[in-house]
Amino acid sequence: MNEEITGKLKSVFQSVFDENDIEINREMTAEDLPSWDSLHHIQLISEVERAFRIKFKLREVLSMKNVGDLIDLIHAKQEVAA
Amino acid sequence: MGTSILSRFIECSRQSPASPAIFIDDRPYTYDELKGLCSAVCTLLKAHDLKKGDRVGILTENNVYTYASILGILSSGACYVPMNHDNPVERNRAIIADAGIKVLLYTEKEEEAREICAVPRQENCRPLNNRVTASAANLDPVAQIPADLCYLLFTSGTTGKPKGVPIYYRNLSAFLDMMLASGRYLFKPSDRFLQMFELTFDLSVFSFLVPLCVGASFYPIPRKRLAYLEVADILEAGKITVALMVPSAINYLKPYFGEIHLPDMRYSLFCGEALYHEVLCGWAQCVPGAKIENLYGPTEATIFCLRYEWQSGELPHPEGKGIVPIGRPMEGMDAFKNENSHGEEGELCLSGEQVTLGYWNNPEKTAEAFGTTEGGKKFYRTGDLCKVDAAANFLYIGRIDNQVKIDGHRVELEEIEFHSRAFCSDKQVVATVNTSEAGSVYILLFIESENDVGKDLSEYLRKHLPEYMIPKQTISVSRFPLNSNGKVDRKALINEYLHGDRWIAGDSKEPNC
Repeated sequence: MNEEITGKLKSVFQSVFDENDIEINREMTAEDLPSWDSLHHIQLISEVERAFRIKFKLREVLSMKNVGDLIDLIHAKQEVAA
Repeated sequence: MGTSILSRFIECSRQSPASPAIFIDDRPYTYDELKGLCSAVCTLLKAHDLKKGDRVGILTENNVYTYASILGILSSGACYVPMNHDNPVERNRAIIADAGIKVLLYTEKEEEAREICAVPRQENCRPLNNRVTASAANLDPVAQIPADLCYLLFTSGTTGKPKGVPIYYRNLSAFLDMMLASGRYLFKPSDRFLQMFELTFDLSVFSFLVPLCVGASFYPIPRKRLAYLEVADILEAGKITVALMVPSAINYLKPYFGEIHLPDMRYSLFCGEALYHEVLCGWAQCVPGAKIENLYGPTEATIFCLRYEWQSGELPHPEGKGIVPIGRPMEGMDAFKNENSHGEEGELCLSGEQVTLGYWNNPEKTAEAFGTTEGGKKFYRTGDLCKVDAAANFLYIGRIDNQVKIDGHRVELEEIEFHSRAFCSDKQVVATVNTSEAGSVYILLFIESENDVGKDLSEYLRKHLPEYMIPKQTISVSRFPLNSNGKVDRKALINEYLHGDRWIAGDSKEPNC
């Protein structure tokens, strides 16, 4: 399940950051990508919401510390939806 | 007059030594602790033979030593020059050279400080650690007169080099008198201020200095990439009562307004870029008890100097195009349209004690931007286009040049073009801004080239420009449209490729323009 999420998430990252060779991993944070700032983060969150048909709360957005947290949160939201 | 800035702080620390002055990462630092550190920094600087008016750099970090250093530098009679360690080394070195900085204070970033200080063909600039031990000695600031230099900030310059704006005690004292003595703001020792700005941005001076002058505390936000989002966390957890923010911050929070409730907020102030009525209406619901103001002012006129009091429930201004008015000049300041303007729109000019004398070491730019009216009044031309409504409120219309605001930061598009051209062997480039789906403004660059060079160019630009100036998108266009004078037609280019939705990018990743 998580591989599926990771694959889909990678393509969201590629489109938001406009880089086709972007790779993601669980430990990755905003500090690892020079262009990952508040503007891109908001775009990323909204694209993730669109791609996975989920909605995040502000508290959830603020509590994500790395890509791993984002993957887990997507997973949890999908479970609830299912 | 000059020392009154520090004497206000010293008086607060005498009256309430145990009161919190700063909260950093949930740790409070009392007025007494801050004063002790400030006194130790002052002693350290005096031992390095610094004279009145000498410029001292600070490699700013989110810690108590940075704030103690600012106050310590001012106490020693020197002028502080904040520097951001995320900026390219070359840019910080240019500041060291231009400002003639002899000492650069740092806390953790020793290696960066050494690298920045090693300016080629420059007198010695010494890196100095500001992690001092608090001193019990009395803080006895060097007396300052209104004409003494207080701080020196660098903003984006059109020629590819940052431009220095010196602020004197006269200017800052006038600002503080307006904030504290006009009776318009009733700040209390129990107030908790938000400090969301980098110290290189003059809005920070309001956010840390005003609380320290009234015995209140302030909460700097952690310096992380997503800082503008994390504002929401601090506003709530710190029960912030006074928040000066750039409109971008609430724009980012817009999708979550329904989840934000800040009943403690007393003053919700905005400055730095256009504030949109619609976003503000949503925000007003989050801060039901707050007085909301839209403030305006360039660095050259010390922090801000026009004010518009926004009332909950008011309709968008009929001539404002969705933008909240910037209001009227504050106490002691004057604002008027350039005498040469025809019709109802004109360049906004400012005069009064908050306006600086001119740019640092830059007589040419000073002559362009500063003038004297026929009545003999000195004034600053802001470059902002404005008009005035029937109630004497100023309305912001746009720019007369190519300056834009990114998250409140001033950006001269020519500076981006200058460095982009240097990378692309003088090919034609045009920098502009676009608005994202979520309503945020970002930089976009057009290059007259058959190839896609976006990634290599970004890497190059990161060596010369701060991150907020790096284009978020680069579009290669094989041929730029020209106007009847044979010059690049910026408007046509932007209209054709942006609004006409024609995106052209080559396949090649070669760094060949």
